[in-house]
Amino acid sequence: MRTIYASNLALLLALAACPSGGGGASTDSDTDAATGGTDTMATGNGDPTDGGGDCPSDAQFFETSVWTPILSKTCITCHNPDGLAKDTRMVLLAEGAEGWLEANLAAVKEVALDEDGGVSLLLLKPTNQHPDMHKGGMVVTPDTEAYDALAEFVARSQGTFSCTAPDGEGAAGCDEGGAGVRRVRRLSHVEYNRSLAAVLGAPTDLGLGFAADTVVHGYTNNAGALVVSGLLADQYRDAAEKIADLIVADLPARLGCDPEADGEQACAHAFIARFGKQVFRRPLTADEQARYETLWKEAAAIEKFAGGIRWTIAAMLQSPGFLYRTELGEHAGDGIYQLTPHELASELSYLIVGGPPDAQLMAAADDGTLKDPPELKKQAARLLADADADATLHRFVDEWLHIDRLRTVPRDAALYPELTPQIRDAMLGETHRFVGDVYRGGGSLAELLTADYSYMTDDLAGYYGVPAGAGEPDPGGFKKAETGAAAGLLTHGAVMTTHALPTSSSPIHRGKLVRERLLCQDMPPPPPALDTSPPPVDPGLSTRERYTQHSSDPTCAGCHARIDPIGFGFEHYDAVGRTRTMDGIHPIDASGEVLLTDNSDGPFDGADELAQLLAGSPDVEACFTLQWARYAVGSAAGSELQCVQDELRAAFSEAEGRLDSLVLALVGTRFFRERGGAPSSDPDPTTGGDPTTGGPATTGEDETTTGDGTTGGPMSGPMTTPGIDVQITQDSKWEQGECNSVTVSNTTGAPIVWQVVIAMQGTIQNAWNAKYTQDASHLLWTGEPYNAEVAAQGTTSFGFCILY
Amino acid sequence: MSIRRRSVLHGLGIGLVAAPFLNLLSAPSSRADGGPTAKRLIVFFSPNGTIPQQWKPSGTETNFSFPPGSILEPLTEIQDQLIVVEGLDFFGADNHEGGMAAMLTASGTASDESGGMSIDQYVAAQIGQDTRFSSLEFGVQTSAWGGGVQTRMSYSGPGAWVTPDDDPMHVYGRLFGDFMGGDEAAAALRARRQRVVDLLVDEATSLRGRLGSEERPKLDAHLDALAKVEKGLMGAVGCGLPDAPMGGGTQDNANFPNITAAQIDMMVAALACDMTRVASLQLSHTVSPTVCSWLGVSEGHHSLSHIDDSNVAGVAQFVECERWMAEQFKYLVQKLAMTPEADMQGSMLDNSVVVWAKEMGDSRLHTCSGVPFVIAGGAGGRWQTGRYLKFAGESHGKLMVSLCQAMGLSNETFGNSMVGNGPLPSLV
Repeated sequence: MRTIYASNLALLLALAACPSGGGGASTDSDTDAATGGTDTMATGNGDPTDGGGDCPSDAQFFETSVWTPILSKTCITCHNPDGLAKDTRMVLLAEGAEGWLEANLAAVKEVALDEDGGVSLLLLKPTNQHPDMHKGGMVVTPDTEAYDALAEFVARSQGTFSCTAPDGEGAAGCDEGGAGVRRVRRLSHVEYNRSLAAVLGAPTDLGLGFAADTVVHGYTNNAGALVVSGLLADQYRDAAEKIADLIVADLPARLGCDPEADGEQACAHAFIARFGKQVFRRPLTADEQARYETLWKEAAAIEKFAGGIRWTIAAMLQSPGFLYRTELGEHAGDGIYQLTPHELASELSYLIVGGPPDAQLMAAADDGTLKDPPELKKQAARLLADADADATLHRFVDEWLHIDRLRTVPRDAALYPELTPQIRDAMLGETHRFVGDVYRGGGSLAELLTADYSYMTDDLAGYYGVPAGAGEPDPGGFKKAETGAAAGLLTHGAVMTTHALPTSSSPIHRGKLVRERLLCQDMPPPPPALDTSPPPVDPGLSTRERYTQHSSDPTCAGCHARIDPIGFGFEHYDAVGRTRTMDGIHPIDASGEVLLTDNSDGPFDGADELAQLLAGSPDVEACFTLQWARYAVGSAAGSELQCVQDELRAAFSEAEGRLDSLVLALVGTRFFRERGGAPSSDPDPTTGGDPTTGGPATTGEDETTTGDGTTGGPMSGPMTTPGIDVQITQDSKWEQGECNSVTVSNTTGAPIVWQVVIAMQGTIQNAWNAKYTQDASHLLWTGEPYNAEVAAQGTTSFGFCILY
Repeated sequence: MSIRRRSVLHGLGIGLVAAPFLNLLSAPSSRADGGPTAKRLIVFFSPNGTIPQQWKPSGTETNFSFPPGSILEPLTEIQDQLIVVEGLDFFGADNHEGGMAAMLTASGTASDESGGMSIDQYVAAQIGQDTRFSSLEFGVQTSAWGGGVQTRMSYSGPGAWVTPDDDPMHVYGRLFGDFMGGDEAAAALRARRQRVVDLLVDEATSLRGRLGSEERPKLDAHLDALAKVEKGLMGAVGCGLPDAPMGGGTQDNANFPNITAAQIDMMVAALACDMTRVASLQLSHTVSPTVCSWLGVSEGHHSLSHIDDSNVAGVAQFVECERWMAEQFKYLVQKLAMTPEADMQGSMLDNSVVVWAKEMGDSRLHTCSGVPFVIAGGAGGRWQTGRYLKFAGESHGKLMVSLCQAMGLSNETFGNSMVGNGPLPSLV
């Protein structure tokens, strides 16, 4: 949540005078000389940061990271020779005025070097944390890129900054010639479970019920979000001890040596090396080997040989070496890190089969052949043919379409007694088998979306009311069967049931599913202070009629016009996934329309036609690629997705949407094999020594804390009528936009007709309690007739959603 | 940071077995002078706002009652131990997600006095050093949708969620599992686990050293987690074991009442054993799809919460579910009231503050103004109970300040301080 406090109408005037957002208002440079500026300006001589290469000098840093994005946008509106802050020590000259850069650098450096309580004024003031406050309010929020830039400038001014960063650090975005940030990926709970099972050599449930991880864009394997909490660490401990007990119970068979014949020490040594390699998916380092031998020795002294082994296993299974996969690599020059063969083996294996490398893959890692791209591809193709490859595919589909909730979505048992837990399981099995079949058969996304067949148990076929399939069932009892429709995956019972309400179908949920998961257009939540009660079930109205009435309000219609007409297309499917021709006493009207997309607009009648429309849409193809990339790369951040998206899209199009083409395309990317890379625009290999990979853009996208993707454009403080204070609260934010509520407070003793100007670009999707006009970068808000005037000491509020 | 804390422990030459004595060494740093204080804070959450007309008591501050059929009526029996608070606003927050995020943080950010933490984590960070767990988070079906703004209420910092444990079996093992097999066996087990934690700290530290600054926070979090595990290894002595909970599907809707009861039982037992002094129980989450099927209700709680008054049957179902939530709150409060303190000086409830929080006011409007709170317990005699406090749009951050001060802390702001400082009047 972001909160920004108001400034004052004077700012509006100042800003109006410089619509480019560039320089200040002063045109004739009466502050003639850049007094003292050249003295303090770091011109290179003796500047510890001016090491050439990628490290900007203080002056360069000031201009690109402090002046341009912050001072020239926000501060100069008051801090200019004629501005409200003209009597403070920080008076900034407009860009282009004679000596402006030197003068501004000097002035800001002086502020940076002044401290209060050990903290620089340059950090205290704009964040409004100074005891004397900041008249302009909080214009820079802590923990933002802007704040970090100010902090770096302070460090540079104080002489405590160095560009020499740890190896491999720094921007490594693909658009900058890098190959992504060197990272670690904690195993998702499902990956952990499969890894434990591999170590144990038997299936286990351990891990599946662990404390749920942060879900990003619906996916549970986001590398940025997966961390270890106190609770999870305890769950790891508990599970590790249980597995250790199971293995020790079968110790002679597991040990690979005889402690009596070979000697306890030697046997423990051999076991730790062999078992450790299996657990860590790579050979142990000498330090690790020594660490575990010491642990074994200490424990064995009290609990005998087997007790020592038990504790060794329990520790290994809680170790970061087991819980994280590393993508750190080995330095190969120029800031590039090549993933090690064992890292590649894990990356490939978890990508395709969702578990640790098998013996054959480990062998290719051990002898290093996996580093050869042809061998990597060969191994990928081999794993794709493995039955385990289905498990990761299922996981992706479950999370992509949210059907991981199918088993728990509540449904009215009195209305739908037929929806037993067994039927729910059969529905999930149906979808999994169908997807697996399309995938293995070399099928395409279009087939996934428009197939007229599926896989059902006889019970499920009976439940749906379609003829049971012919032929031999698979071990789960599933047979290929005609569905009587041509809408593929989307009308599966699993999807239709998950996206419905306890007592009725839900055009809203189903429309939203298509918008967000197939078209990748995230929808904002409804604005507050609206009556959003779902239309009550009324036998006199069909579901469609109820929802049409409900969304007729113009405030609602803005969003619901995008959602409901798609959802109506599924009205032939009831709340538990069965087809129907009547909705109560009402005939079904499943006609609808896709609106407001790039390439997918059009009318349709029923789910089959909707599916045809989607299957032929490049929007859906691009969205599917993005969804799969989020899952496969475990990221929602541009820095990683950028590295693969173009190649994936090209390959997917080339293969006409063939599902398995994405896996092989990803394996072929540079991102799959490398990390790091300096963000240098200088093609000249300047240094032969250690790369200096620090640079101006060291703040990677931070997704660990917010669970969200990229941040939107910077937003400077709003401008208001005098006497009005404004607080903006971001209610929600998604990739393409955000929703904000704005509280307007009259601080005076007389009523005020208010206006608020907010610097923000985009298309207003929806606004309430206020009207707006817009130019290229600003929104001017005025109240509706009922709240245009705000009483003395009174408040009112309005809100809006904007698409970037 | 865990590393620093560990070196202090080791530097003092005492192992973890002696750790309970550490509280003799710790100064009551942030405890304020001034009046009696509570010993423990308990947060109880139930989702999807309320229908104010169905919730409101009638009467005055000291002479009030819960109208027949209203949501709070089940609390009549414990009315004397309650402080019912109405009319607080989550300033600047609206809607399900906004409310869930603001409810316990009062919209704090890193630069606020509360550092963007939720009240439970803020209090735990101040008073939790001496107990085996600085706080415990219990959940009932909070996680079918995974972790997200909608499903988490507890924050250890801006955007950093603390995940509740939804599994009573695991809770039992974590809290009470060590006590099987007698004290000596338990001590040996703890010593061995401690040794493993030492090794894990070495390994995590070593991996951390190989990472760039972007990735280090992950291993920092891991090291903190290990520090918590280590602390959790501390034994508690002379403590009664509750019954082990029944197994069963933790996400099975029909199991909701059983899990709730089991979690409350274990929470009270953990508090009685002084394993922690800060605990929370989160019943489902905002936008909860839970169906109160055990009451014969068939529609999901979220849908019911938005039903308008013309749908009389729907409103009645919502009220019925809410009354059930009130019953659970009462069960918790009564259980605390029936448990004497270890020193036999009064009941646990006498020295506790229990807060029933919701994330929205009027659910039909999706607003976070007029959000209802119910407090139980006298905070060690600090507060007179049996009161009904009506405010007109005070910031709920002030209630958070009241709660902090009742816990002996001295902060004058909580969360966004721009919308008010100090405690709520009449909750000083």
